[in-house]
Amino acid sequence: MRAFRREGDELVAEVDPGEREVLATVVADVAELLGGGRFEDRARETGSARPGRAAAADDAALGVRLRLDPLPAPDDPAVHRLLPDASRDDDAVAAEFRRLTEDDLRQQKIERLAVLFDALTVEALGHGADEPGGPGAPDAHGAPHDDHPHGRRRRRSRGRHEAVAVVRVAKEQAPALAATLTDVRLVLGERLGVVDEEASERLEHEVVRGRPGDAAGQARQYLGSVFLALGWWQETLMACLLADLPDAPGRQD
Amino acid sequence: MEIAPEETARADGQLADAWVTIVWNDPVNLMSYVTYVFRSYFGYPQEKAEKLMLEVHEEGRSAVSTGNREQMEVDVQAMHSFGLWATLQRSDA
Repeated sequence: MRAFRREGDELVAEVDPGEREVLATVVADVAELLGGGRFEDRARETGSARPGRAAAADDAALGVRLRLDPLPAPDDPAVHRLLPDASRDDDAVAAEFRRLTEDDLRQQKIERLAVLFDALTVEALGHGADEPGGPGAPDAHGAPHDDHPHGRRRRRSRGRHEAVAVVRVAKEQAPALAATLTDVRLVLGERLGVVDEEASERLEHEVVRGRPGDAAGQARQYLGSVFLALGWWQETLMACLLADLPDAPGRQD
Repeated sequence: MEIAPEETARADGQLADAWVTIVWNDPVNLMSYVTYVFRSYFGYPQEKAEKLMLEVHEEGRSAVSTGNREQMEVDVQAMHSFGLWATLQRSDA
């Protein structure tokens, strides 16, 4: 995984094949938690994780229907973190807010996750070797990436020889990407028990030390390393986004 | 638009009802991201955005905007969309 950089009107970052698949899976898992179905299945059938036109029309119809009954807060603490209570002490305020906003927020988060999923799968492979000179030749995994210039067909036979994928996001889409990376990290953080700064530091030590014992320890190690990598990746994205804000400090020109 | 019609018609009859949006600290969100959200969504200058972000980080919470209840619901929804945990409350609460 490389740092995001600005290229014209796009933000661009290379992702190694292994990381790409892990990320896509985690993104799909978060969408499923939110009730977005299985992205992999939809992408396999339609070539995109985003809902088709018919489904979108259904959603629009649903959106028009006013929700009159109160909506209970989500049971899963990770989902609850993505759709939190709007009041800590006033249940009526929280319930009214949830009734009015939760459907839209859920839909928006699922849609953004679908965009990232597509960027990591279909589009990333399409971009993979498009770049003249190849993206990031000094790939740590030594994966060759100069063959199969248009690698979409290789989705079914990917493996050790897959090209480094390139995630490309239009500048206008980058804030949505940052929000989605946040959502994914919030879910991972909740699952990993990152409840305060100390827990966060403990996790970092654990992952760096890297001596997982049992299966649970290995799963924690795995999710922990994804969590930390995504934090770093988002940090590089934020550096680009902050630098582009109008009154960014240090911009004297 | 000073006073929305719904506001004058509110059942609780509190016309000059001042509410506030509070953002709460969490150990996952990046400081750079929180600053970015405060700058890009509220349009706050870097200095103010950073001050509010540090308040969230060090004091556990910060009041980031004020207005009527509807406006604060819009702000809270935006914060939830960004993945920040925000609540609304009466400003004297």
